[in-house]
Amino acid sequence: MKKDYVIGIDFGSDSVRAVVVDVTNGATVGSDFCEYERWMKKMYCDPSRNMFRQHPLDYLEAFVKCVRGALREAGEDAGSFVRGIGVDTTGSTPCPVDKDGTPLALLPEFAENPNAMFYLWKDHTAIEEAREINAVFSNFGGEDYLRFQGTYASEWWWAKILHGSRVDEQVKERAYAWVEHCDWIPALLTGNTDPNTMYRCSCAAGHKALWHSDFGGLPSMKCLNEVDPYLAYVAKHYTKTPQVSTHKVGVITKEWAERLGINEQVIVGGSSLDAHAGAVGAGVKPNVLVKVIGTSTVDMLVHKRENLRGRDLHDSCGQAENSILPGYVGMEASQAAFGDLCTWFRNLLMWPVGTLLNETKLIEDKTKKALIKEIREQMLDRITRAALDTEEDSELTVIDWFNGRRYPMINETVKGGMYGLTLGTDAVELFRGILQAAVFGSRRIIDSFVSRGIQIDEIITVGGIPKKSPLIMQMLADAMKRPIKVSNLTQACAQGSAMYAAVAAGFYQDLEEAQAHMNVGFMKIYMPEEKNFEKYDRLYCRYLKVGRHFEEIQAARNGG
Amino acid sequence: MEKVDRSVVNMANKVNVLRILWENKCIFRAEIARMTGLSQPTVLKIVDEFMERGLVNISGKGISSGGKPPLMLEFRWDAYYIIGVDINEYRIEIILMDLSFDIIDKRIQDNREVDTADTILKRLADEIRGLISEHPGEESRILGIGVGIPGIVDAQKGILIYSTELGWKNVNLKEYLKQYFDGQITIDDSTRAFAIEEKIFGKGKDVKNFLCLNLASGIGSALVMDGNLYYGSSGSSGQLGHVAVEREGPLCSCGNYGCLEHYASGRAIEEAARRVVEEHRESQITDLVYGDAGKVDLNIVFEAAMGGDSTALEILEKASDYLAMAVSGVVNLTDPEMIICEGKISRECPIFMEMFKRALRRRGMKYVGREVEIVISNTKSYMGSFGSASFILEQFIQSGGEAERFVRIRGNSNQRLDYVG
Repeated sequence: MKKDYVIGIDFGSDSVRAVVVDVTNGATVGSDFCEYERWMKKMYCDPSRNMFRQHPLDYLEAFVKCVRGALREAGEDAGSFVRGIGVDTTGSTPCPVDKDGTPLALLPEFAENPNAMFYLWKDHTAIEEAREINAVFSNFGGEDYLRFQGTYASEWWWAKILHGSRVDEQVKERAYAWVEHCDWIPALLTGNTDPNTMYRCSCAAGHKALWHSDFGGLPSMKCLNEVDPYLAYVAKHYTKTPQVSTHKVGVITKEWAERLGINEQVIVGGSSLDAHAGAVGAGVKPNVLVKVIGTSTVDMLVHKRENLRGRDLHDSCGQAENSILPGYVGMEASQAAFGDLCTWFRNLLMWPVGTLLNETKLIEDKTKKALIKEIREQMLDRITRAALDTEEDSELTVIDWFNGRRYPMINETVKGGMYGLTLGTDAVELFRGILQAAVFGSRRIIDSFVSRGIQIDEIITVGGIPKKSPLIMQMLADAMKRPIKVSNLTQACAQGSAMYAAVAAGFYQDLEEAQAHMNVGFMKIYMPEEKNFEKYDRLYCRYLKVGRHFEEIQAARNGG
Repeated sequence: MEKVDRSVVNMANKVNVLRILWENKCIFRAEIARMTGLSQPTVLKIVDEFMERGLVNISGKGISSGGKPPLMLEFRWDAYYIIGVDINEYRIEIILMDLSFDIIDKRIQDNREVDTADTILKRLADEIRGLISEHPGEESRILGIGVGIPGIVDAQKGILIYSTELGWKNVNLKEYLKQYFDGQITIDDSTRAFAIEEKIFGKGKDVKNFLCLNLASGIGSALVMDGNLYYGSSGSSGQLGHVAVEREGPLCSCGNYGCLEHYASGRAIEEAARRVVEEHRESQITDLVYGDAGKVDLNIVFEAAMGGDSTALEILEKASDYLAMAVSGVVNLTDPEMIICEGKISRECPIFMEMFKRALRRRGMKYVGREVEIVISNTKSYMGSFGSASFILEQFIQSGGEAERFVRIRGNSNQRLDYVG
């Protein structure tokens, strides 16, 4: 029987996942994941300096292994039914390459040099460089190159490139150009990695390199030159206009077809950053916000360019053309901590368990270990259940800026906090307060969009937390007064990349059509309960007020 | 004497028939005759002339109830093209469209902080030239360039006299564009452009008397009276923002005191909200910007109002009431059937619009304007350039479909006129 499969690849922070998907209905027929070997050994990293680098071989080895694994699961001959491959990766994750587009770390003389590898998104070594870039980009001859993305982050493309070139003279000398992880993979698979002509994706180009049609491309050569002539040099070799994720980059090379165990007619589609692929996979469309909830969140929307003209959204989100759905502006906001807040709370309560229980002589070691494990695993579920039963609205207000604030109005210096603790405040109430803080952080993002004329009718959530915590989901629905749909997908990003491949290979006209056929639905829909609106409105006002005071306290501290 | 009369009548008939053809995608000749009250042979003659000029096609045959089946006539949208331009403080929008206002191609450019009248006009001319030369198929059949710009405009001379939005004064736009292009060029106030667009396509289609309000950072207005756009003696009618609403109010840049602009415009709302933060008053406005007055914009006020904040609601309430004061005067004076609103405030703040409606009802006379309907323009499809292009379309129809002069790019035009006064 003839089958048509596409493969979606999701390069995450620790591992890569591959899904083999039936193009007609989006069903997963095979999947696998594979960790990065060197990365798991903590090589090339220095967490104390926030330096996180990944070796290109880590990507390639894990990639081949997990594609083969997923194909095995998909059944005999699955490789012969594959029609397309699509990719998403973390980002901004750039890497210096030579004139042929080979990552420097793949050359013998740079094989062990972290500066010659991929600079993982969470690498924060370029804080100083980001400051310099912000100073120039925010007003260069009157042009504000930051007006679509807001403050330039140290995690992004130009900052990392500048940092790499400043700390490593050899890398600077040899690096003819730089590539994003998500651009390099499709380029490599199709055999054209020449930096001057290779594929570059709209998503990373717009959000991280600041490519915009209003600027006529990247920030002007003059502007880049003002920051550092090396940036202009890099831009000179970034000549190709970025392409959308559904772009047909080419046909897979013979060599790669063989290595992956697929046929030689496979079409290589475009790519995007991971969260954006997740939004596509989960079903993003106009007026529907997709919220990927993990340790932090990414909140994504699409809108027609015409309707965004003249709206100032730089405090509310980053915008890039074609970054999520081709033909639309992709908008991306985020909360710096969400799941992390729960983890923080658990770690806090685990202190006596981990410390005292470990020291006790009352029980034997084996029981100790089992007990600690049990408490750790059950704590959040158990306390969630307890919190579910406490309906009273408390005096306690928690502010969720434990990891600074991203949107709206970015401020990385502010900290989390609590007001309203009493002698009666217990762990359950505190936990509920923390969840509420995370939920109100989400509401602030939504309100900021809506008050700027961006309509949002419903919210689709993706990730482990939405599936596990009905309490948070109902709170979100009530506080935001909108239905919350929980996506069925476990691999939303890889599903999105598979959709890129399905369109690139010609099965569907566009992503909207692919979504209609390949969407696997929702596991639950939480409807907002009107009786709770008044309560959450009141608590939300309080949250805003306490937050403002905390911000003022921080401003005074920053002022010295 | 008789001869002159006949040609006037002929022209009126032509205009009439052309408008019906334009408004109805397909129509039978007999139906035109019925709608206009003209004789069949007259209609036949006019339609033949249009057909000769390529304005009308025969699209097919209808069903006959015996005898020769009637011929279905179809307006040819692609007979000619129009370039519509909209300039505002945020962007320039240039659209090449056909006669049904279907977009053939467009150029949209955000204005930058550095931009002056000089650089914006230069970019405008460059972009129009680019747009024309990239469409060789349409190039020779462009009826004209219609430009809309917010402010006081002398439409006859094509001069922008003053614009608060752009901060321009005495800019001779028409003269400037004439350096680069031959052919028909119209310059008009963008609220008037919006009004004529509403009259042709929008909610004002079958309304004889209506008022258009543009509620954005400034306040614009335009009146359609008896089906015609009202200009006034010097072409500067519609200065609603400069109607005085406070006797002791501050001096306005226009020369008057206590103008509506100071109380009800987006700028005024923003200013009031900024003061709240500066004075550190307890309000959600202060909270939403985390105490930083520099972050206040209109949307923050909307967000606070959405959250039920009393200070924000009060600011909007006050602004909407001032607006209603001025508008109720216009209603009493002109007795419109409808008020059509456009602009950031009407599009993004339903709370304000509700307040405005209530205030207007409260301030309405017992005897006049009881039925006036307040609506928001159908924003999804609206682009400012359609309004600007409507002037060209209207002139084309008024001329009975005559098109002798087309837009042409002028050859070498390096010398620049002194167009900024």
